[in-house]
Amino acid sequence: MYLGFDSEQREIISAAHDLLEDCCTPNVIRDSWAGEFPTSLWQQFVQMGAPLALVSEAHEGMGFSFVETVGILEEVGRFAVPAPIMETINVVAPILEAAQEWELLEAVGAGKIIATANFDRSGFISYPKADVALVLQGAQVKLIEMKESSTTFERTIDGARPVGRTDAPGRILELDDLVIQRAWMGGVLGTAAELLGLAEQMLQMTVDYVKVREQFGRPVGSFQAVKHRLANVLIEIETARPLVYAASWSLSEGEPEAERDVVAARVAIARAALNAARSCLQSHGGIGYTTEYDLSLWMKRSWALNASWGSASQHRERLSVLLGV
Amino acid sequence: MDEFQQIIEFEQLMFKEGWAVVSWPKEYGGREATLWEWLIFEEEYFRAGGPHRVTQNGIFLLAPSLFAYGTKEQQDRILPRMAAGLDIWAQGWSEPGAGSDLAGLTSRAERDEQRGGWILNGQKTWTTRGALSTHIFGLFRSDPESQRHKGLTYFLIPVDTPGVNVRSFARLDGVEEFADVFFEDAFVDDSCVLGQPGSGWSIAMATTGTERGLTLRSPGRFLATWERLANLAQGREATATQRGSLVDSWLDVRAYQLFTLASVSKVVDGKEMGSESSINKVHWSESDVRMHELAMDLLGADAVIDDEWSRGFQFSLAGPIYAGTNEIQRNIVAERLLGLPKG
Repeated sequence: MYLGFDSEQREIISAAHDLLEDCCTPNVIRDSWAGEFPTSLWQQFVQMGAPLALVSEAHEGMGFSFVETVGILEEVGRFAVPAPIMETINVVAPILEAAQEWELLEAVGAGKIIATANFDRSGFISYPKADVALVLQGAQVKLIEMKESSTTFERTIDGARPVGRTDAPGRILELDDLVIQRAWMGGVLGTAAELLGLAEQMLQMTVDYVKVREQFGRPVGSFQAVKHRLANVLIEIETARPLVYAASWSLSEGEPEAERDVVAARVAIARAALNAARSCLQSHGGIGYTTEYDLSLWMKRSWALNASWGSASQHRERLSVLLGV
Repeated sequence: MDEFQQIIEFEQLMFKEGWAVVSWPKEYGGREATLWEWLIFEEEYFRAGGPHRVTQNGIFLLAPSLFAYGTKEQQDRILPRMAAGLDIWAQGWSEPGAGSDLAGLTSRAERDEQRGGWILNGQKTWTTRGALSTHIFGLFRSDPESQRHKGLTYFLIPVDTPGVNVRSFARLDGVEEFADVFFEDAFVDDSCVLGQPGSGWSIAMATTGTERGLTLRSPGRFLATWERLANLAQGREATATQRGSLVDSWLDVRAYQLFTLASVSKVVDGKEMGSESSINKVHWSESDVRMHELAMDLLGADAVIDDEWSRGFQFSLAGPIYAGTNEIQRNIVAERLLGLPKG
């Protein structure tokens, strides 16, 4: 009964953190708003072997479980990385491995092609400039060659995370239902992990700000209303965190309660992330409301992700069913 | 009073069977259970419908301090009787002028060199089960020149000491177990001092890797409450909104269970459970209020009846107040965990 990362896992997560701290600065996110894909970041990510994190070592992957990837994706969220890393790691690569699509898997692993995915049946595809996208069609997974289809781009709340629709037919992949279910859960869990990192970073930025911003002769962070508001954000994050980590373990182990745990994590972190965005904005006052100030990049990402891979209330409904309530 | 007696008898039975103080050393009636084992025990205890233990202040609040700071004589004299439910300990912390600001306490202890002890004067209030306890532990100002948390001494006092008078009064939930405890020239000898005179504050504030440092309320208690709540909801044809709240409460309880597992994992790894316990306290206390608010809502008109749920609801409202108000806890979270400046 141990709930935490071991030292090896902490090293992996730390390496991801250091890499992203180096090559995913706010400027990279703003460049993405301007339509630029973070190529250099993606190359580094590929060099680390990260795309095939969940793929077995026998198939040139890293043989990690969702436990390692949840830690990595928390960092991806922390740095608001504007690229389909979550989709690649938790969804695309395991699906390609299970479907025995070795050429595609190799190409994704080598960074020769960029892949994305969305299983929430919304019709939206994030990062539609990717080469391939995996979506659900009925109970099956469809692979779409994005360069051969026409994509309608949407104006979205988060310009760094482009979203589009396509009418391309694609081709169905031969997959077991359990594999598809696991990939769907991987996407939901991955979203939860990113939201966790986003919430933490918004809180950190805010704490740093309210320590130095002075009004009425003292730091605004010394006022109890501000302190309590931010304390509430931390409490919600820290009580959602173990749900996210525990879900990564259940899903890795194929536990019978895996779906319940993943869905629970997603609902809990949704509340924490929404409150984080709102409270952090409020604690910044007027400056938080400008897009020149970096907080906006994180807030918008959190709202976009919160709408993806199922909304919080859809997951809550599902949780209600699973709990028999 | 009847209920109290029933619980004492139950606790004495637990002691006979070796279940009263599972994490204590065997020589004092324990099983030397690890933190994990203690958590499992608590979960099963509450699942089985075990009552709120009337020995809890002694066992969970005083005993860790006794193990850390008591003399062998004190441990041998106090711990076995505490575990056996023969002595019931109350925590004499708050005073009329010192609630959240405990360091503002004014009860004093005057040195009586001749008799080898101290003369206590003052008053403790809101003492839970004060009227039913045989002993009380509390802080007294032993250095008259001292201020705030300096110069305080930790005393272990039999309630039948001449000069100690108890007046009971009712709590919001109707339980007649609150008490004012008055000290009028009450003499206690040196064996009643825990640790060094003057070190009372640091002893009182020390948290260890035991269940006290970890949490006042184990997750098992809330898991059991949620099960009862879910049964209530089923029996009452809950609306969609109520079922949504029930799901949210499940999330609260599950989060608390996992948060506790994560904390134990850290402690077992040798890390200190520091101010994270403030997160823990705010979370369980407010989750408990929400569960009981839902219960009252589910009961509809029946919520007017004075019974288990309505009393449980009123008791849940005490949670954000005792063991450090949630306002204080949020200050601690903000100042010690987030590093925000003091006001």
